[in-house]
Amino acid sequence: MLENLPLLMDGFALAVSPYNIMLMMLGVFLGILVGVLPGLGAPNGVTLLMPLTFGMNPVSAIILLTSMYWGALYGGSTTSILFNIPGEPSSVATTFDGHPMAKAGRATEALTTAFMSSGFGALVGVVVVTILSSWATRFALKFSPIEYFTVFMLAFGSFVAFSGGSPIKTVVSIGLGFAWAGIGMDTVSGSMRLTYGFTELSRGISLLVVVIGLYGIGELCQTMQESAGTMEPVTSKLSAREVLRAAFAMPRYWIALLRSACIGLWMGITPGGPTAATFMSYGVGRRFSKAGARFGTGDPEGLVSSETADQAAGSAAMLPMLALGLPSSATAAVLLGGLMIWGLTPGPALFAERPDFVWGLIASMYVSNVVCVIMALTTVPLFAAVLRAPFTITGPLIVIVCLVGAWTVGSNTTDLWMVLAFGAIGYFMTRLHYPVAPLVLAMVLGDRTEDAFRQSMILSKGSIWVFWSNPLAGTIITVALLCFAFPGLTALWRLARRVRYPLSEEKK
Amino acid sequence: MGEKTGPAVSHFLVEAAFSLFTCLFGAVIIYGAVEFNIGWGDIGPDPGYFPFRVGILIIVASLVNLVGTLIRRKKLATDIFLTPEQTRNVVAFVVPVVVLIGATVILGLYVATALYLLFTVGIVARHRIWVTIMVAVCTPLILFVLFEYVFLTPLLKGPIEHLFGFY
Repeated sequence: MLENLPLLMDGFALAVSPYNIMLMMLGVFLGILVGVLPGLGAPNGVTLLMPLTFGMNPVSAIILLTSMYWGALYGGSTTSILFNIPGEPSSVATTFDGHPMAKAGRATEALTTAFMSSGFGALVGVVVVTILSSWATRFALKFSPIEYFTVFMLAFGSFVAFSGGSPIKTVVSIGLGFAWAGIGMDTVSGSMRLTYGFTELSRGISLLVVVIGLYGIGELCQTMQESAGTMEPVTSKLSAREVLRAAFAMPRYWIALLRSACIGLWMGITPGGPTAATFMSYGVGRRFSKAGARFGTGDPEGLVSSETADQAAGSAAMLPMLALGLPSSATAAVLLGGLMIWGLTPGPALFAERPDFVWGLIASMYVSNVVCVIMALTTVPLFAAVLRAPFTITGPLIVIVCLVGAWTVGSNTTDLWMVLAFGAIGYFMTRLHYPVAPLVLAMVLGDRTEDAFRQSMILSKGSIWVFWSNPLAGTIITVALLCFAFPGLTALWRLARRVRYPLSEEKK
Repeated sequence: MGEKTGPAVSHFLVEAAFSLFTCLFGAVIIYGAVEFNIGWGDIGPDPGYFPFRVGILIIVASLVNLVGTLIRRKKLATDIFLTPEQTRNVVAFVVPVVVLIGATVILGLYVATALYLLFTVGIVARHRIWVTIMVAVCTPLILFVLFEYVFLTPLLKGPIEHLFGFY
């Protein structure tokens, strides 16, 4: 446990340079901006910025991009509370209590509580990442393609089981992601496939282009669909005294903080993702907390529950991402794509070969979350003003930003049309409640899942039972299959108990 | 996908159409996979092995979706996916973007950006003339300085930039 301390100190020495602090602040600022603006979420923001980091040193690049991710999580909370618009899927649960609080004239308290909880969640997440990383890499060293395949299956299974909404639509999303990932060069045999004679397709479909389309154009389309009404925040003024008072009131929620942090950690390390974490934490809080009955009416504890879990999951997700190359959120998936483009292979080898990168990143997470809390609080008036700017101007500007981003990916006009096509698909997917995050995950992991599967099959000479050949793989694959079966099993169970559940959950 | 079929587009129609679309996509993937062997080669599964099964997965899941949609037809048919006004809004957003991309390919990104912003901000949203000019002129200029000189990632240029000697 303490063996990591010197490494972490080296990381601090590397991460805490004036240049990197400046990048952190820039990243957090841009992150809050994309978190606040509709049509530019964390996955899309990180994607748009990524091509510009290719020339940077990887440590600085990852600091910039992860800071942007953290910033976007905070920005999402701001809009949830002040405008009742969740800037990110993971801040939907924040609107339940945050907005009623703001409407009741407690906006400052709500924002401060949200940011402090986020900061706490993030801190717990980073501490756990720090402590567990050596253990996780040792664990990961035991992994052969067989175990990797089972872990990937677990990631997809948990999306099917926990993402909410229709499980079968999640399966379609995963399938589409796999299919798009398969286009282009086959990594095992080196032959071209699924190109249908189009030379444009031989490069494969870029993940970045898909994300810009699905999250950028698709989401804009959805925002534009309503005739642009002006968005008015509840308030944009924060009084310093109230901020301090709310901050000092935080220890009162220590049970909720710890409970939510644990849930967040669990969902972040096992591939459940921040969105699932917030809903689970909120649900658990409502059921087991004394304040649970007041959840949804503007109770600070509800806010604490979702925000803490959100950030704890987001930070803890860095552990499986670095140690196994397993992202648990769409943004982590994009970051992972970036690692590969920088020529870094995630996994245990990364810890051994590039300790500067891994520990620089972990150390930067400590610092950037402090930067986040401060910047999120101080920039509330600024971003409330940004949101009040007429969307008829910001909307077209975001379109331009998306196209510029798509061009910088590969300097290719086909990519521009692809962004449009994926925008259309993204629009229909979101409107019809197909989850997009599993698709992005499947695109990132597609090739590696396939390789792992094919290598396992080569090892076993075609026997599927190889996945049960050792206790570790056997356990993981069994849990994964249970996850896939989970929606079906619960449906059967409900049928058996003849309990009539309202279908309202699915309709949200 | 059924954009302007009637006064209001029903949820049922779009849901069913999208299931059919994903189903068709699965079929295309299977077709593509069959071109390469989908079975067992000399060293293990062939390149088409995995995509073929993914295609089947997509088709099966899409059909389950479609059946589910058909079962809930009554309820979904009364659900409105897009009101006529919303359809207009979406079309008014999408068509200029299509034109923008077309213009980008011909004229380059900077000029197309200026024209697009002039149109959307000035003509569609009817902002004041100086606001429009500010946005439409400053945006490409800022992009130009940022990308050509700061990030050193040149964006697509067209005949007008060439006229001024920028390539």
